[in-house]
Amino acid sequence: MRMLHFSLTCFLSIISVFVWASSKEQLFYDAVRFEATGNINQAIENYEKILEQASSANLHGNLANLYYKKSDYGRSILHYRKALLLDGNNREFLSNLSFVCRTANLENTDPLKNNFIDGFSNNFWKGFLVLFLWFGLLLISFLFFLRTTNRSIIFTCLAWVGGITLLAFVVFDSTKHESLTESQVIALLDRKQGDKNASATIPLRRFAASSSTANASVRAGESLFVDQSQLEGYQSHQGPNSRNWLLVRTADNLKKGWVRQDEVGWILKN
Amino acid sequence: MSIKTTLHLLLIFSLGIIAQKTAAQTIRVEAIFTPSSISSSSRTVYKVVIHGTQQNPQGSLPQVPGLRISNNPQSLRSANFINGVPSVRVELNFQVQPQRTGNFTVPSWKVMIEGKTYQVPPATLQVLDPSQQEKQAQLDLRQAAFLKLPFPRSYFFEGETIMTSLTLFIWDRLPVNRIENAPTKIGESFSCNNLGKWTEEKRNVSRNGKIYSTFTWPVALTAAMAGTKEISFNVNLRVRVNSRKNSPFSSPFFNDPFFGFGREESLTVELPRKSIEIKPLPSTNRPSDYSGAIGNFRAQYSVDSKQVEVGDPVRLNFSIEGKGNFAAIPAPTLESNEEFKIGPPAFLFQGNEETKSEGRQNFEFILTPQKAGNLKITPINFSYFDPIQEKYSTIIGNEINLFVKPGEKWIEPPNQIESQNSIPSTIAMSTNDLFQTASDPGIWHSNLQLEPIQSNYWFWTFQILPLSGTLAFGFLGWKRRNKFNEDFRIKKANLSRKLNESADHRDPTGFFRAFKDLTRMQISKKDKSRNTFAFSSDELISFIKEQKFDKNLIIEIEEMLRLGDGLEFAESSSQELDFKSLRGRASEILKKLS
Repeated sequence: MRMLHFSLTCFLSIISVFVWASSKEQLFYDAVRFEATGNINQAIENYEKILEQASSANLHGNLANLYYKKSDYGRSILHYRKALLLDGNNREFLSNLSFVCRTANLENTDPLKNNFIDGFSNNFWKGFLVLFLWFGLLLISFLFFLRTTNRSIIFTCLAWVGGITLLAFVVFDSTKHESLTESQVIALLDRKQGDKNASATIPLRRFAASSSTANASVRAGESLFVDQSQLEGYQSHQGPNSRNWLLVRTADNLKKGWVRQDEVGWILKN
Repeated sequence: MSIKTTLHLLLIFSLGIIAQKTAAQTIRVEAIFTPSSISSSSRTVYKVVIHGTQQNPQGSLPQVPGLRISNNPQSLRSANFINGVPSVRVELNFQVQPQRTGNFTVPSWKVMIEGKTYQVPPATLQVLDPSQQEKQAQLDLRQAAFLKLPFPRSYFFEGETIMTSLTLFIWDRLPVNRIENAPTKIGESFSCNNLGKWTEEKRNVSRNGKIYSTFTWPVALTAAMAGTKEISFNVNLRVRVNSRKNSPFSSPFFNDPFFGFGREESLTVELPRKSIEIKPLPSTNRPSDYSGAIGNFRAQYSVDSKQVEVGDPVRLNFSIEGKGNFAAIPAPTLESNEEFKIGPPAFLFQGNEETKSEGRQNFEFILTPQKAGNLKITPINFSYFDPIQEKYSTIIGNEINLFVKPGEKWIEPPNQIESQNSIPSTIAMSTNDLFQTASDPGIWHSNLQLEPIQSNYWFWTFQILPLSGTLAFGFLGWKRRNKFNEDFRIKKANLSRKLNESADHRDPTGFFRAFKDLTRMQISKKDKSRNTFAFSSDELISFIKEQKFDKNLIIEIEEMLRLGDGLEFAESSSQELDFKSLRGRASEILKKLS
């Protein structure tokens, strides 16, 4: 009888867990429901609310789908890129991103993704370097302990130094690439403009001011890189109306200019 | 003589007379009840007075059935002058509480005083029924505050949720400051909703000829197990009383306890235990899909759109309305299949969330169609047990058709664009449908950017292991190598000394042996894998030849070794040997070998 009572209590507790699920999950399911009922704006609002707390690959994927449905290709591409950061091998995200890029007449989605090193994270290379470093040191000290000939120890040392040099170069390159990814942003149209004028462009201005003329312009969804400041952080400027401006350039360095912070979306920041 | 001195003398004289007189006084024992007639709810004192002594008596008080007499008497000694005659006595007071009405007599018993035995006379106590006023006072106390819990039926079923109400009655004369806590359930046979603040409050409710204020809590009780089970509730009230003596809660008798501005006391009001029969659910005709719903329900089943595209989510709403144990009803089971991806259900209850005994329970599922066509959503059947009709019922759901359009398809992009795109073509080509909504969030991440590995504590901690290993091997290797070199150096020095001494003493055997050993030592450095110390002269020469030394050096070593072997084994003459030049040659050879 005690067991029955205990099972009943457990059962009720499980139900209550379902009912009072954590707010972000509740918001997610509500957003899916809103989408199901055709209330896309409310669904987007729910997803954006969740992003203030946490993110997930599916969340960014769903949000990207919704932005695509609203013809806001810039934000759609931005969120597919974020989704791919969390789940890089997701075929649906890759296909959807490719489709959106094609629809938006964009040729290159990720200008940084070109070499073998990118297949692995910076942390992987750092870890591998450390592993190699210690493995070599252990091997050399072990050979020294075994009183092997000096020649074999020197040969091992040379191989080890060579490997370390190569790996240090890879880590350096990977860190540089990571730093570039950190500075990567996606050009976005104004939210109000998004679904009305898909062909509109974002001007890259000569100076950090709305009245300034543009050097060039980019399409929504294009990848840009924020210039690093000589001191620390990024090249930014705060205008008199408290608007933040960023100095950006395209991957091929052909276009460069100032954009408002709300005209771009950071890939690595929520 | 001063007045003070005169008074002292008089006092000493008086005490002397008292002592003389009391010594002559006879000892007399009396026993009485004060009062000798009480009601059953009162207490009295059994008093034993011993005249003529102040010494403690010794004896054993007899037990009287129906009376509870305390074992710790209060003793009192006194000395008096009555009409110029001194008198002393000891008084023992025993507290007595009657346990029933009737006449009780403490029989005569013996006490020992100053070494003599005396009889304590018998004493009688009359215990009467409580007076009408006392009866009323006790009744008032019982009716001052009480709880009522009515049940709609005389029996229930196991797992059934019963909706009732618990009412607290507080007599208007009871000076209640506040209700300290919500009623607490006593007993494990029922689970109960959380009782917070009362939901209904009434004034001037007449009952038992008294005026009450009532406080009511809705109670949803769910019977957890079958059998005859008991349930009770209690609640604490904060009541103001005059003093402890008059507290109605420590003493059954009180005169006027409910007035005054004394301290506060907690009064626990308890519902007398109620027994109720809990029947098990019948096992006959129980539907196979029955999942514990007990009550009376209606069910509805709908989708909000009957025409969608592949990948577009559809909301399936299954709702149950009525009265019953909603808290124990699980969501119906719907599993993903080839046609639909089905997310976990959302529970939405419309009604009193606390009791969950009446209202509407919605289960919302999100279905994502996986393929195009006229798809059928599996109907949901819902079974429940009706406790009034005492039988199982099943509501059979209708089949819903959903027309799913193909939607947008992936079109392979032209080769020119594909070549510039970083996405591999194989991935793009294998994907059929686009923009499908994920119905579950997947794994949550707090940050898109990975934390650098070097900021992880474990990254540095784990490096202690290889560092320790490296240091250990390095230290042990260094120690080992140092020992080997030291041994080598000492041995070499000894052999060199022996070589010189043998040359000085013209000892050819010792000289050539020392030379041979020194040669072996020098050669052993070239290949540590071979034990050159065990080599014969021939083996040593062939080994030296393998090591690609200078030919002249090899010839010189060979000559020296042959000469030594000849002297040692062929017993050649050593008379003509020039040890000075031999020592020079040996030094030269060893120098070249090192």
